[in-house]
Amino acid sequence: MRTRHRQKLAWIWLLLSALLTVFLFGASQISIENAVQERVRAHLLLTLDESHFGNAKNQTNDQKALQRIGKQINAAMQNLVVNRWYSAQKSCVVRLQRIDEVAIDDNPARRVINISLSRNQIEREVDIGLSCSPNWWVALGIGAGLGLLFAGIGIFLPPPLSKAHRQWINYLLERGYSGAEAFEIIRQYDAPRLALSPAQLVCLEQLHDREAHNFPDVLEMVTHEGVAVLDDDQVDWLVLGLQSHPGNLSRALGLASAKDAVEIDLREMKLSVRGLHVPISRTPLLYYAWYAMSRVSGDGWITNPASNRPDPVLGRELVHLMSEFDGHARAINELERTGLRAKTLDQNRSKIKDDMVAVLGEKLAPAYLFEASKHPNGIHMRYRLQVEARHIHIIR
Amino acid sequence: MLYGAAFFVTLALGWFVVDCGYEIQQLEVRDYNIRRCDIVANSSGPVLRVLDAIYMEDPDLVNTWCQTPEIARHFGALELRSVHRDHLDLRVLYESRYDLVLAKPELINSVGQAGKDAIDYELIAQYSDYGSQLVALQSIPELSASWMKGKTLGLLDDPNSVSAYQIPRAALHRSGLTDEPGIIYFRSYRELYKALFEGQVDIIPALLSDEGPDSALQLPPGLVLEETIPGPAWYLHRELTQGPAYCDLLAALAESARNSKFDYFRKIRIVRPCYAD
Repeated sequence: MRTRHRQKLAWIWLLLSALLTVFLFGASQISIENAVQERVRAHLLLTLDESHFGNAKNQTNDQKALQRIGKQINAAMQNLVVNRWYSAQKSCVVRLQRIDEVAIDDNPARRVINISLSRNQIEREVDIGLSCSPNWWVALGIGAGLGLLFAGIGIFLPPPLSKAHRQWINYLLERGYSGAEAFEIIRQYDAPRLALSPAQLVCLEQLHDREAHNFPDVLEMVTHEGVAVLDDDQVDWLVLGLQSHPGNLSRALGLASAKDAVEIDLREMKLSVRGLHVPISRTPLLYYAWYAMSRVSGDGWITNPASNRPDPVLGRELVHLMSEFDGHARAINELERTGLRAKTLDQNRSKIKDDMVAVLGEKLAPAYLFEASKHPNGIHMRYRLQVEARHIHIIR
Repeated sequence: MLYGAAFFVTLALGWFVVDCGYEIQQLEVRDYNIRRCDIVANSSGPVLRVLDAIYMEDPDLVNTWCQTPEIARHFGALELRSVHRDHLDLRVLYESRYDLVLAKPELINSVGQAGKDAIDYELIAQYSDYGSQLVALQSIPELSASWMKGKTLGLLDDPNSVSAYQIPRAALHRSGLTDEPGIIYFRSYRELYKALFEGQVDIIPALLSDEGPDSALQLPPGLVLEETIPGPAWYLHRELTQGPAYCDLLAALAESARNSKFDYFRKIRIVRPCYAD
């Protein structure tokens, strides 16, 4: 950041030196021109005798006299402009060149100042030649002076804050950082580094912890190029991944970009979402597997039994599944004895939800839980897994 | 804030360099019509002030007089002011601001109408009478509409000039030449002559005098309009006519006349001789 800042200062120095030199030379020239014009005009008004000028259009001026007087005035003006050593112009020569049609001095001048002078009530044109040479030492002095100034700025002053820097400092101030802290943290980063995509911003918002003072680490993480391309859902998964395995960005990125999949391993009695293990006890897992099988084999809807009348058919389905995969004997016995009770089914869905939210969080978990609707008979509720069948993989 | 301060410091320095980097010297207000020479040998002496009221404008006159020992004996410097008659402020004569005046007698006479003592100047020397004529390079001018048709006449831009303004205009008027010829006015005799030789005008009024072939005033024969016009004269302030400088001034005048480029100005007549003579 400082190197770039110094490069920028060098360019500004060059540009400013050039501009200031041009401005000083131009302004100095104009200032001298105006002063010379004023002084010479006043002098001519007082001293240029009207008797040498014609009174009308068909009268000519006394050329000889005007030439003689013009030469005398030029001699008097020999040292009219005295330039000091620090002036942008030097060696200024002022000469009367022409009075009306009478040529006084033929030497070419860099600038010709034209003034109008009333003599015998007729306006006379007077040309004053002004030739000054640029004082290059001043240009050199300007360059050196500005160079020193900019070198001092580059060495002793911190680089100025960009708009992005100021925004981030404000961001940190709003979150309780002190001004010095915020400045110290933000000044380390180039402005492009601080330009975050919405996804990165969301990610940072979620991971940044003022107490943990983790802004630099989080910023380091979210500015990874893999993060910039994530969509909103993927960012949620990334955050989940980083929360479950702090500091392991590649693993979190793997989770964020993984295919959406629910895997139910009935042999190992394990449930995983996008490869992320969701600890769940055996009975709820078998209930989850039962709903998943229903989703895979059809529309997935399973109607809740009436609260006062257990469903023996659904109970038998579950007994069959539990028996095959070593379900709890007590649960099997109850199902065999009374059928599937609404209360039991609700308790297990609730348990599944708790376990799923514990791992995936409130935001991500619902996509793998249940959706509900009224049975077409208008009396009973029915439930199914929200996740689509093609994303469900059951190992048995 | 620091950048702002740096900006203002730079601005102030810039303004200082632009505005205080130079100084325009005062130009002494002086009369450029005055030509002056200092006489080193007598630097503490008074200044001899000479008024040329016929606008002879002889640049050599000042130097010639400064080198004249007779002048150097009495004066420390010489100032000569040549003035166009139509811009002459007569107060300078009433108030005796000049020691020596070269003027046409009619001018001094008009100033001195109240009597001999109206002004303190005395005639000491005079050039001979002269005439006025119209001159053209190709042929002798004629005061007729047919001859003047399409021609341009140059006149001296000075209504006080008898020979080069009053007489030619009167002649044209008498001849009924109101539209032809066209007239251009010039501020000096020198430019009048130059305009004729450069073809800017076809006719000019010229001095009728016995100029020799080498004189700058020598012109082809012309149409004589008037033969006797009193010549210009030198008038000296009365105080100087009484002092020891008078004889030397007369000698200087005579010396100056002898050295003149023009035959006419070589013929000077001393009207009031030196008492020593």
